[in-house]
Formats: sequence, C-alpha cells, structure tokens
Amino acid sequence: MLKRTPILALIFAALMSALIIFIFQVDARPFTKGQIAMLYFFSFFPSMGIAMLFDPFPKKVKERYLKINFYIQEEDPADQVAKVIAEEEKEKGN
Amino acid sequence: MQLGHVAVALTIASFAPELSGGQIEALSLESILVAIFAHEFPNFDGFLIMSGLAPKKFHCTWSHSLIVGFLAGLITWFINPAWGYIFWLSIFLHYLADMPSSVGIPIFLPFSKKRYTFNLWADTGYFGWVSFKGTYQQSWTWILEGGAFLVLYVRLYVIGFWPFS
Repeated sequence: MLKRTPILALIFAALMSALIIFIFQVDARPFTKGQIAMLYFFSFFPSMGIAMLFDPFPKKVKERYLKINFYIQEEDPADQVAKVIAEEEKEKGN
Repeated sequence: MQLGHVAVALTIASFAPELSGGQIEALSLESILVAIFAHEFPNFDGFLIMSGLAPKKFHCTWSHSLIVGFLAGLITWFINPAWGYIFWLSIFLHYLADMPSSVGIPIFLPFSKKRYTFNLWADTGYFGWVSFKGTYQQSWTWILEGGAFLVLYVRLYVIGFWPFS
C-alpha cells in the first residue's frame, strides 16, 4: 500500500463530510462538534476505498484472489493463498 | 460483503414503520432482530458447511436464490405480516449486497444456474481470517461496506435517532 493512500483518504473524508453536512443538515438541528467528528470517522471508510482505487496494491490483491477457487473441498484457503503468493514471488525472481 | 451486512440490516430496521404499516418502531429491538436475522439468513449456509452437512461449493447457491428468499419471507409473513415485509427487503438486499463479489449469485435457481455478478471485488471464500483479510485488502469493499455504515449514520440523523436524539 502506498503511503499517500491513507492521507488521500483523510482528505476525501473531509470533503465527503462537508458534502453530507451541506446536503442533509437541517437548520433546526445542526450537527454538534462530536457528531461531525463521528461523521468524519464514518466518512473515512468509503474514502479509504476511493483512495485505494489509485493504489496498485488492492488491484494486485484482487488479481491474486481471482486465481483461487475457495470452494474446492480438500483445499485449505490459507494454503491456497500461500501457494499463489509463492508463485508470484517465483515469477518476480525469474 | 461481510461487516457491511450489519449496517444494511440496521438501515432496513430504521425503515420498520414504513415497512410494517406503523406496527413496528424504527430501530426497535423487534425490527433489529427481524432485519438482522433475515439479512444474515442466506449466510446460514456457512453453518451447514462448517458442520459438515454440506460441501463448500454449497455456499452462495440455494440460499441466495430469489425463490428461497421469497418462500422464507412468505413463511415469516404468515407468522406476522409486519415482519414479512422487513424480511423480504432484508433478504433481497442481501443478494444485492453480495453481487459485487466475483463469485456471483445464482438468483434464478432452480430455473437457471447462471451466476450474476458486478465483479467489483474478488471472492475470498465464506469464512475465516483469510476470507476477512482478503476482503478488506480490496478497494470496493471499503467503498460499499464503509458506505453502508455512512448511510446508516446519516439515516440516524435524518430520523433523529441516537446520537442525534
């Protein structure tokens, strides 16, 4: 994961929180500071996902898991993942 | 979807008055229990697999078909019509929430075995640490599952529920 990804997420979360307040806040019931802090906290999670779209690591993980069929009865999921990672390392070495 | 199911179920419970014709209060214990039970119902196939009563490949098959969801909702509706509508919405939204996974959902079983998927994230299995870790290393799970919790939080504000009461 790139170092910039969580930083980008923090920025996106601030923008998302501001947008939500702009759209949903009712004048009679303004958000308190604590509620805004919680809104920022909850905005962070989807923002992290958006930031991860610009990071190559999650794409690599998706490609890795797409190679695995987790519904083979005899196989252990942890072993299957380890096997694919070992193959990736081997390819990198070549 | 994994943790996000809880947020979706609680959001559905917040619509309990609209779904039950005013018979059940929003986010009452009754609405939460019905919504969570119904929303998690399709994943109970995992218990059958873990107890050795079904093979691994049974996951996301019959339990995720529209006809099973409809019949389970119908039984619930006969027990209590107010629960029935919450059950139907909960179970059908479970199918929708699972469709971004690459494993796909055979929603038209037994008429068609075709699996429908938005293919936003790779399937990581049905249970355990490998499944959990793999799920949350992918971007769209954060967007949609995190988004589900954010929608719930905004919904609590809109209806003036705690922490906004």
